[in-house]
Amino acid sequence: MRAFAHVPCLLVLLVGGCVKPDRTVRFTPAWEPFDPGAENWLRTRKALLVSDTQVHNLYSMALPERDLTTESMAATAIRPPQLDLFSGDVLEWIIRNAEKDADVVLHMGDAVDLACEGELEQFLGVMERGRKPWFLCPGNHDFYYFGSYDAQDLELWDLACHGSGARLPKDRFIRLYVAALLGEEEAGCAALGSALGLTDRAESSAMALRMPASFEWAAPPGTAGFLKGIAWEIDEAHPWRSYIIQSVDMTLPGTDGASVRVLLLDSCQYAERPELIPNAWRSYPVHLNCGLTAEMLPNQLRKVRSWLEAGGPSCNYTLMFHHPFRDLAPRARSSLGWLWREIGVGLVVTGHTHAGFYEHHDLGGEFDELELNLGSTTDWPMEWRTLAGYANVAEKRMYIRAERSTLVETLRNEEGYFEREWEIPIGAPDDYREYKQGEAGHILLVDFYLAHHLVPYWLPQPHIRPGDTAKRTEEKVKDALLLTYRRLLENFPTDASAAAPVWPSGTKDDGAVLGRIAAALVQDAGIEAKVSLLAELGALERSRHTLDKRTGLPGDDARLRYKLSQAAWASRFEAEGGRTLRIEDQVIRVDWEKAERRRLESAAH
Amino acid sequence: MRGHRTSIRKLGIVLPFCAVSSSCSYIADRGLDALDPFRVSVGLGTVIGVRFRNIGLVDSGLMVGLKPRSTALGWRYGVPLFFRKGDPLMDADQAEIVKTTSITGLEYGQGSYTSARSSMALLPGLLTWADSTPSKYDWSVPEEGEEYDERTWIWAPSSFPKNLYAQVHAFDGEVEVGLLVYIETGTSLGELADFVLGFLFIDIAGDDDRI
Repeated sequence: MRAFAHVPCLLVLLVGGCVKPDRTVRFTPAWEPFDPGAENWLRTRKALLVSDTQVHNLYSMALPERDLTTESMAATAIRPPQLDLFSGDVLEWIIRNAEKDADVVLHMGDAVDLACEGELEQFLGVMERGRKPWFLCPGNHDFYYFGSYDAQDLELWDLACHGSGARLPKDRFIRLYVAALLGEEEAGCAALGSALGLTDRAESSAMALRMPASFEWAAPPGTAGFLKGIAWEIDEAHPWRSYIIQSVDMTLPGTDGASVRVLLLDSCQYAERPELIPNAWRSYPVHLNCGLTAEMLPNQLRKVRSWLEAGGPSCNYTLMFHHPFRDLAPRARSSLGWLWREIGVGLVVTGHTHAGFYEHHDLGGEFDELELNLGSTTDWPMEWRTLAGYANVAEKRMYIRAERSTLVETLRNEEGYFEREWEIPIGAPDDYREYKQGEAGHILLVDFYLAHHLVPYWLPQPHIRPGDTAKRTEEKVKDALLLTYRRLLENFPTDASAAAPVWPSGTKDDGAVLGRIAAALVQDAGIEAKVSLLAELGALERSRHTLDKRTGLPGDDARLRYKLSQAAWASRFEAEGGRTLRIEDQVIRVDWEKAERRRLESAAH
Repeated sequence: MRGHRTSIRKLGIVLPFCAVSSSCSYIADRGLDALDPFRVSVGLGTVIGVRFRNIGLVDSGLMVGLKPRSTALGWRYGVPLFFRKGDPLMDADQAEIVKTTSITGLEYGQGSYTSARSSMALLPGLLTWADSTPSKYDWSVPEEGEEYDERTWIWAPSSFPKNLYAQVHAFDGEVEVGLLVYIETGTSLGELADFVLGFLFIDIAGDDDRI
């Protein structure tokens, strides 16, 4: 009997708190049969979620950050030229083809890469051609130099935006973005235009100038469309303190379910000018790197709280912002976590990581909170999701379906993609990772280290300029871009019977264009001449119609398939591990020639 | 003298009684408190110099260079010292002439962000600021104005509940010597007082019931 005397003690220990049972999880994966098309199921609108498209300025000059040393630390510092060239086509294809039935596109930020007006114009062009209502929560790359900081060295930012319009600081971005929203009639932004007194169809840049610095608007009851509220505050002297938030209605018209709203927040709002590497000498106030740390200031958080509380318990909220929750600076994380827990926000959707994952957060409430992080459409795994909520009141069941798709898996199910002869051979000058064959510029790290850790913050920071290695790498990138255009012209000649395109100066047919490309590649033309030819080639590519060389038939479909295939190959080979096989690689190509040679050699022996 | 002896005798009766009547955590707490007043650590860094710091008023000497946090190893007032992101005390050290930075890993969201506001360089510990970064998920937005300060003066009444560690350690005395390899050693009067007063069930450091 004495042997069992310790049992009550053990029980006391177990119950008394030494062993805690697992927390109940509110969101659990569901595998039971579920047919959303069956009767009595209420559905929200279906949103296409995309993130981190990173439309890049192809005409930029060499930059210190686009150096093989930086590239070795952050693989997205330099992308394969094919990926930069065709990332817009990928996004457009996803919106127009892959997810035709989505009701609205919600972008998690980082639409552009270097923060230039030309990049934004290009992105807005893609979204316009997508012909769907769309909204975006701002990301760090949208208005901070290279997504890292608000460069005081404007000369550097100008080098990045060379050939692509002006620099794009945050105040300007917000104005241009709102101006673009006003053009979206389906999104329900006409009422916003009326409230702003901007109903004329002027140019976006002209409208942007007339935009007020501070504004809040809630859609009057009964207003059709997605946009139910918007608020922004612009601080022109300190653009990084500006913010914009939006409320998007996802309730399907005609359903009598509780309203479902998405709040798009701004996780790139900083109290102090963001810096590349926060200075180790500085105690207070603190400057942050916006690629590494997210921040939301009190004015935004207060507004978000008032919106959430105004919705009442019958309104179901999803929050979306660019950075993952764990990257938020402590005070903003604490406050947003409180809102998440106390107001009962259903789901938080974020981007920024380019990877994509689900994460549970224990915020001290009864349940765990769930975050869905979205990967990039440009970088591997080139993913997107569709999001819709379903509820069956009679059965008391509710589901959220966040269906994930990747470009490669989607294209593999269709014909005409990934033709063998389209793939760039290994070792070719425009091989997807050829630019990585250059030298690393180790001195860059020393520069940054000195500038940000050994120089006290009250002394002027030294200006960092691209070194010779960065210049050579950028030239390689430009050469690969020229070669990519050459392959396009060779595989898809211009259709002479169609309307005349915008030919580069001194040319009137493909042969002459190819001649100019060859001349630029052979001669030591310098990066300026190459950039200027690239701009002309870009205009030609946008304006021309093509023939398929293999069939001789006119039509641009094959060319689009080619571009998407190139983007996918480039993204795959840019991803960590390069051409190394991964777990998900199911079909493996065998090098026939090598295998044959080995067979012959062993037979000879 | 007689009265003094009587007091000690009373204490001799009270203490064992207290120790027996409460749970075994009392003994464990005293044991752990005994380990708290000392600090010794070794680290690598591009440093040179000698530095003394005593009770937050004297801070003399000069250390020049950088001390990456990731290279430090040792014992720091009751806690093993090694680099880990979640170390809540890592950023609560007092004023230092040379900032310790965390270049390795670049974890600004976790490390440097809070360590950067731990102190004002060159100010003695008694006059310094303490990090008041919220660690729980609470609404911590100021209701009026735009101030978003994440530090408080360590003796400010509002900071008392949060900055106990900084307050107890405002009376530390430390010596540091370095030439590429640096050695730090020190003792904490606050922790020593906590150890002694702990026998009377007074927990000034708020660190009892750790087990």
